[in-house]
Amino acid sequence: MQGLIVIPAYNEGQNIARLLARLQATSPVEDVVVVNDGSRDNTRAELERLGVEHINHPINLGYVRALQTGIRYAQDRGYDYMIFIDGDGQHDPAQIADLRRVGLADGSPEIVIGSRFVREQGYRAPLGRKLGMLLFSSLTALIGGKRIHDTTSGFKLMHRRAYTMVCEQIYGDFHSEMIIFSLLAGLRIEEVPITVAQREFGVSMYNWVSALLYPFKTLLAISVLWVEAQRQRRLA
Amino acid sequence: MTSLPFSPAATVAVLVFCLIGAAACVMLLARRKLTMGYTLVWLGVIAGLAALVTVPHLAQALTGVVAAQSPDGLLRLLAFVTIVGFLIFFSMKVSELTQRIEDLAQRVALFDYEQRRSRQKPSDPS
Repeated sequence: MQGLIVIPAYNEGQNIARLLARLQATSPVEDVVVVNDGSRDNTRAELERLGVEHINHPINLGYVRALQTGIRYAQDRGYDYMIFIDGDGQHDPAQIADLRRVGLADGSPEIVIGSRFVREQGYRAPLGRKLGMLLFSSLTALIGGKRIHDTTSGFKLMHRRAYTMVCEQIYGDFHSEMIIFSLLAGLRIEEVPITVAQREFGVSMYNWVSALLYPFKTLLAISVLWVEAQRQRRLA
Repeated sequence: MTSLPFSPAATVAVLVFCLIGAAACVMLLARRKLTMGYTLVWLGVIAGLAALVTVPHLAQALTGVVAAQSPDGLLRLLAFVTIVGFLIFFSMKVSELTQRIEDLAQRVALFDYEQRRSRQKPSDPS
């Protein structure tokens, strides 16, 4: 099976070299591509200096579009599975092995999520974010039929069937709505425990405005995707 | 007993309009005629309108704030509906253009990648 690691990056010039070095140290069996989402810092220069495969958005399109570009790249080349890892260096590339262990076994689920919460990892989130995560985790159980503890993890493995199905269904942040859509469409999802480091450089893509709108956007996306998921389930 | 600001018939009519409007917004989002951002804005406007006709004293309070006369009639309602219709139309157009630009930018990025790769490949001496 041939896999692809996709790293979406926006203004991660200070993080990307270290992340790629850590990734290379794990000797990944997958190909690697970085999607530079119209960065305004030296991200592109760093990628060219490092000689890593990268795709440059001419303008900033957002995290979800960056993932979608990676998916389109994978579709064009027929990769059997994809692994997403954030470009800010918070995910440990060594834990890709854990995703593979569950995701590439016989009878594996179509989606494996690296979760901060499936086992106590000492990860501390602000109260507002905790409540939001609790809400959407409950929704995955209520609507999708399976509780997913970490609905906002950017560390995932997706088989071709899954990434093909979700590619055109992107409405929100590729978080809980994608998970619920996948569950409703009949895809299997498992979580593996991971540890997440604090971001060292750069700025998070979320600010207080986006945090405020997040629950409304996600609930709206879930309601729209529910209908599409039923249709995908009938087609399968 | 608190009283609603408008007659029961007007209140029901406005609420029906709000329900239809909300359903239309979600349908337009599902058909990708409207982006997520605009959908949320319009749902917020519809929620505000529904609140205006159902929350007692809210309409009067707001009328007082802007120093207007009492809520008036068919002409203003028609003007309001026309303006809303135009705004929704232009929201749809902007959403469509936004989607097209984003799709184009993705295609440009992937094309640029292919071009770079083909330039990096050594040329065939034969």
